[in-house]
Formats: sequence, structure tokens, C-alpha cells
Amino acid sequence: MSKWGTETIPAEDRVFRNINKRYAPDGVPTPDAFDDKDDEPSVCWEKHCPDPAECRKKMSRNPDVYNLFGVCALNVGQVRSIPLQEVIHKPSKKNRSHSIIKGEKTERVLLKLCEIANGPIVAVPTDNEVE
Amino acid sequence: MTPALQTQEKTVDHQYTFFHRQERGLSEWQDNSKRKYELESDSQSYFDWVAKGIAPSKPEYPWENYNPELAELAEEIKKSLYLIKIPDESDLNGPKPPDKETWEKGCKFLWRHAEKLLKFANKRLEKPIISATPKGGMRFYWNKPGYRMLITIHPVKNRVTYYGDNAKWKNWEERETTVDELDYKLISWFTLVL
Repeated sequence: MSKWGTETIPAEDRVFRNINKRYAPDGVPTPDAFDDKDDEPSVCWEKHCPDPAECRKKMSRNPDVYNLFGVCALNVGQVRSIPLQEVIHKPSKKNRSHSIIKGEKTERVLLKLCEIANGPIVAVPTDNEVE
Repeated sequence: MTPALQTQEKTVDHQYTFFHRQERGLSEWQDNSKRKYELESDSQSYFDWVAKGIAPSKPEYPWENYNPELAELAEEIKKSLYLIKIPDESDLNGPKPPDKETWEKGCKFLWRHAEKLLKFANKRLEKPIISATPKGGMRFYWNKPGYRMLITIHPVKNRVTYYGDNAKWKNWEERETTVDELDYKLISWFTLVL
């Protein structure tokens, strides 16, 4: 149970999504980057985590592997404009900014998410990057 | 008087052409990539040669048949076999490796459509980005200046779903099919945009 209450995320806010580097072959996310095994890809709400690099660490379940990720931003209003997609604040025990993009991820939805993503903010690190 | 020299020619299995040239006492065969092989004339059967390990056996997958127009796509498909061995990163917003059966079915689906597109419309399918999904399926993704197409091969029930749109005709196609089918809607969509 989270110690933080859930809030409504305003449409003008942004959320950050950790992009696995396998899904950004040229540093730009592919539609797979917004898919998830549970159809609920996790994102970080900018309000509680304004630094994308920090978000990269927070969202990694295993802190040792956070250099696997790049981060891109999504405008909440644009995500909600995709049919059946909703951005919901769902704070976890350790991460107040944790949120999800709820809704079935059809090919059309994935392409749309890819289109509205602002590109990686934190470049996808290489294997040799020293953190 | 010297008898006229003879050359026998025989095409087997649409891939290999066999020659027997009397004057050289040798048999020769070439595959469609024009590589030539010479053999002693005591074994002229393709199957003999396969048994002796001289000739390659029939390819396991259809994209292993040499086709210069689809060579780039075939190469991409062959390379994608690594996907079945990647580590499971589905807990890290990453892919789950598909099993070999899913990989085979997905690639055969792609190849079948590429061949028909070439045959019916004389259009060459460009190579997609081939990836593994977080659910253990596969995806083929084209993000080209004039069009986008995303095909998902699901790991269960042989499902295939796809969506594509294009700037030129401002139309889109979204459908569900199965991996064993030939989807004419998909072929006609590619015919339009390529």
C-alpha cells in the first residue's frame, strides 16, 4: 500500500517513459517501447519527478540495470486523445510519481504513442557507459 | 569423324540446374546464385550429391531459396533468429524472447506475403524492423516516408493483428488474421503504398 494518495493528472502535464534500449535501435523509440506485458506501461509523472534522469533510476525495478534505459516524454492530454487510453496516477511504495497508461495497446495505439513521444530526452546509453 | 559434343541440362526443384558435359567427363550444377559446382560423372543425381554432402539439402525455410529481388528481406529474416536467444527483459520494459515456433510462423507469414506481392504486383517489400514483443510475440515495423505499418505475431492462438496508414492516399488498414492465412487486404494495401 502506498503512503501517498492518488491524484488526478492534468492534461497539460507530462509523463516520462523508460525506454529499453532494445526498443530504440537508432536512439528513437519504436512502437514496442510503449507495449507492456500487462497492457499497463509504467510512466513517471513529471510533477513528482521533474528530472528524467532520476525517473530512469526510480522506474528501474533493479537499480543495477537502469543504464538499460533511455527516457522519453509524453503529453498526458495527447495520450488521452487516443481512444480508450487513460493516464492514471498509481503511486507505489517507493515512487510517488508512478503512473500507468491504461488501455489495450493495439498497433494503432502503439504507433500513435510513438508519434506523440518527444523522442529520448536522456540518450539511450551504450553498453560501455560508466554511470 | 569426331562425334558432336553433347551437353545435357536438367532443372531440378526450380533451384538447381544440372549439366552433364560429355567432353569434360564431368557433371556440373549451378544454383540460382550462379555458383557452379563440378562433380565426377559417376553420380548425377541431386539426391546422391545430397547424400554425399556435396550438394546442400533442400532449404529448411523458404527464404533460404535464393531470390535476388527479396535477398535483403531474406537476410533480415535470417538475422532475426537471434531474437529467440535474447534474455527475457519483459520486467524491464523490454522484450520476451519468442519461442522458435512463433518465430518460424511469423517469418513464414511475412515471407509468404512478400512473395505474393512480388508475384501479383511486382512490388518488392522493404525490410522491416523485426523485434520481439514484451509478451513473447514478434513485430514487423515499417516506418517509411510515405507509410507506416505494424504487424504483430501473437504467441497464442496464431493471431496476427496489424495496422498501417499512409500519407499518399490518406487511408489506413486495421485487421486481424492468422499466421497460416494469406491476407489479400494486406497485399493490396502494400500494393497501393509501395
